[in-house]
Amino acid sequence: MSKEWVYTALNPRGVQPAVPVMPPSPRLDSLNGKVVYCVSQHVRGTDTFVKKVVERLPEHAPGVTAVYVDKPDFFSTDVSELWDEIAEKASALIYAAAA
Amino acid sequence: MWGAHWTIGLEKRGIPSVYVVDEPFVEDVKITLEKEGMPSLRTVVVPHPCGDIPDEQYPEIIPRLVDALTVLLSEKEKQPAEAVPKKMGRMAIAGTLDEVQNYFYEHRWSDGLPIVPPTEEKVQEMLQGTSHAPDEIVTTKMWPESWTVTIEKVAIVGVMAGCRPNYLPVLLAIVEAWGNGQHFESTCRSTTSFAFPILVNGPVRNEIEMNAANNALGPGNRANATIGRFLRLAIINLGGSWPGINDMSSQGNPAKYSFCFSENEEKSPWEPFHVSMGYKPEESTVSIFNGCWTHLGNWPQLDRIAQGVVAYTIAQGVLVLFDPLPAKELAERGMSKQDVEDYIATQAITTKKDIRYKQGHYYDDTIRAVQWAKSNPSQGQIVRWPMNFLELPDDAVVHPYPREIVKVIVVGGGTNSFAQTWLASLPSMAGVDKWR
Repeated sequence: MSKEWVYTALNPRGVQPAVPVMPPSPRLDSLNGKVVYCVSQHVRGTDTFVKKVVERLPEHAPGVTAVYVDKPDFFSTDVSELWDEIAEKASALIYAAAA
Repeated sequence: MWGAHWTIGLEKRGIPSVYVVDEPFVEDVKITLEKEGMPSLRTVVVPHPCGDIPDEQYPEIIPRLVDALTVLLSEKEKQPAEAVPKKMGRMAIAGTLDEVQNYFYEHRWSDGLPIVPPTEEKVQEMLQGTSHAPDEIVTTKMWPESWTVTIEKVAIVGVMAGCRPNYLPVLLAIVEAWGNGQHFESTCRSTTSFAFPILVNGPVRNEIEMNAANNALGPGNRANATIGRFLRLAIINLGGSWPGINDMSSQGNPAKYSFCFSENEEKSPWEPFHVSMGYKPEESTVSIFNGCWTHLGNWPQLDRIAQGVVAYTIAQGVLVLFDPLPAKELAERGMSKQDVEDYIATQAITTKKDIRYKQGHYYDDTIRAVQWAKSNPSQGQIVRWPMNFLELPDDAVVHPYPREIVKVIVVGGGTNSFAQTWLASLPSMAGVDKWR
């Protein structure tokens, strides 16, 4: 019986760049008296989901003001005016994209 | 992926946030968070699609959202581990042919088909196809995960696909063009089953014996077949893609395996595609299109083509592939390639109501795009629809395809007067000659 050939194969994987990491922002003590922006990316029913969250959030977080927002334009478009509005007016953010 | 991206942007501006993840996308989101440098972004996983979640489940979901915004960050969340890429050796495995095949398959390094083992000897042979150094970087944006790619890595994947060394300049141009196409970051991970046809133009077509004639889009030619396969193996290995992890195509698409052809420039009555796009005839180019989850054929009559392409769900562009026979007939009737493209763009008409029906839930994006463009005229938005689109009556006639996104290419062997159209947006292109 002939000896089976041995192949030494090179690694084909590309190089994953090192990424500096940062933690999320500090959390709130509670949502009482706070404004929470709830953004729907408007894909596959996120509007339905987010509207229900807005409607029912006060049942679980008394004193919260939940604001429903439809992300304008295509999902990949940078809508800087909306991000500025959230940064200025919101205490917290809930974002749903069905993905 | 985009939702997580925007959420991280607001976290970085100091807004405590929670991202709602639909269950099938958990791994995709995890990769995105690591790539964007915030692996401990708070998430809440919900059933998919979230819009169908029954009312009785909300009392369980909403407290988790509240907790995500109010429960103190743990020490681990405050000091997330640095995303140090895995150190990978240059050698992968030494083994028999079966052992190598199994190793590559189990590591998700193949497309499911057996690969050619990329041995040192074969890779060195492949590297003879370019004058560039093996450690030269081809791109730092290999999508979907924006990895960095050297010439040696391209050569390794080229060997795996079955390419010959003289294909290497074409492979390098493909990687360059892919890296330049930012849109590939989302389309190759989309739930829609995008494929990425590669068109090769210019003298290199004949130098590497590509097929532009009979069955050019089908099997039988090594260059067409293996260069097409190379792109898929490159997306997997050089860009970090994997089905069900960050390639979320709901159904898939056979054109994702291999889809590469050259234009039949010799039999075309018109100037080649790359010349229409501003290159010189003597230059060689690759063009990677984007879309192609649907196509139509066979009849070449322009009115039939125009009627047919309005059936496509999202009118992001049309690639019309004419066999040389109907192309010659059209040219003999005095039509230039631009005339043909004009005709299809102007005769492809439908109603606003039909557009809404065909786009399905993507129609919402059309509404948002028009609304956004109207309220932000300084943002330079490119909008395909007239500004009064939303006010138009349902039976208003509209053109789904702006003129500039209809493109004609001649390919085929002239055994019948056929044409086929593919839904495809404008390509990302790169020159081949710099990589020789």
